[in-house]
Amino acid sequence: MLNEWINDDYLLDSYISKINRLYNNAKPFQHFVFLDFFNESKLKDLKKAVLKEKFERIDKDLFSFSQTKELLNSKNKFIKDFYKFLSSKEFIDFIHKVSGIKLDSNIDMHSHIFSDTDYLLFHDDVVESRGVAYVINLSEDFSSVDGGKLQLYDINNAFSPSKEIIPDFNSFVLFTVSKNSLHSIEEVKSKKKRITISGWFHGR
Amino acid sequence: MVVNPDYMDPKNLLDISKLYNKNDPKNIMLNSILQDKVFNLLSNKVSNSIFSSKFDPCKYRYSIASCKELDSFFYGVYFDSLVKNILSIKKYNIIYGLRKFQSSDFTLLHDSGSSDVDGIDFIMDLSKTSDRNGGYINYVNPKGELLHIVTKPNSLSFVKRDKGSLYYVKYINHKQFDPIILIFGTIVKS
Repeated sequence: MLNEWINDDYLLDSYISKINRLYNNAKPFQHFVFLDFFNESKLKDLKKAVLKEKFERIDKDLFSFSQTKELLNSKNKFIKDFYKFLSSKEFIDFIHKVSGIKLDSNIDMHSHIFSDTDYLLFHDDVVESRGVAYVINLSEDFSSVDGGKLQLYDINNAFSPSKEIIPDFNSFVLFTVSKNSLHSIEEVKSKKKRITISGWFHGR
Repeated sequence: MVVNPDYMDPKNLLDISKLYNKNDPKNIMLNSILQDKVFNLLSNKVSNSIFSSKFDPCKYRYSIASCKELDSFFYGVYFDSLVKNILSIKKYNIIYGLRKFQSSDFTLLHDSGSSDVDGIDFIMDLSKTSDRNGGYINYVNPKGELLHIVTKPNSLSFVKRDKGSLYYVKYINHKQFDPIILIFGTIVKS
């Protein structure tokens, strides 16, 4: 099942071991950014399916964005298949090998759209059993000037991000959820839409 | 006179007080509170103050300054008249602070830190322009949003804050060019 959805290059044992080392040594906290991670054709179909879902606008002190409900409940067959893949034993094992975090089969999955001026301020994601956070980037034309970057901070020096990740299409970001995983989504500063699927692998 | 004479007329003050008490939660925004000349002088003075940054990623980002000229207003007879006639409070203490909000500044609900006591908040807007791209003030309690305030230059708002309610200043987005300068204060009965 893995090679139906994932770029074969990432499935070599030697490569996974190397990624695991990079993940564990990453600064400011454990993370890794996979580029060209999914089967591109499938991901484009997934994006089309997700954009047919209903998005609800949410404005709070911490954020402004539009969000779907939990995609587990989607009636779309393509989204159901993807959810099944993401929560499969094979894929959870893959995430475990990369992160070193013991996980169960529980995942969360939502899609978000960040439009011009939308943002998500500093937070660490720590809630109950969340083990590893993931972000699948579906926007196809973002550059640095458009904003919308995932920003990772050193908790002891959060004045500016230690790392910024542009939401490139078909990139897959993982990071370990802990009290150190301070991050934010930079405000979108153009008419482009930052579209993602994101959530958490649970466990520990 | 420093204050717009309309706000010193006893009949007007009575009407304003009735409106304040009728609103739920109790609140009122007094527009054009200062005479134009006084507002422009004060706004210029405040804008030229030296601000220093305050930043805690999980609570707030804005700048603060002190301005002695503000004391003469908030501890003077005109403000006292507003408090006594609109809020019906005879003896009280106030604390206040001057804050400047620019693009990417914000406060989160944790910041106001006064949910455990009742009080009356006041917010005075000394900004030079009325452009607002974020920067509005939301009062909330555990049940949801209570009040949404979009301040205007030269306005003074009073809000009765019950135990358990908090406010935040909405993130100021990249479209905001001019700073939003606000005075936040609290009136506590003594």
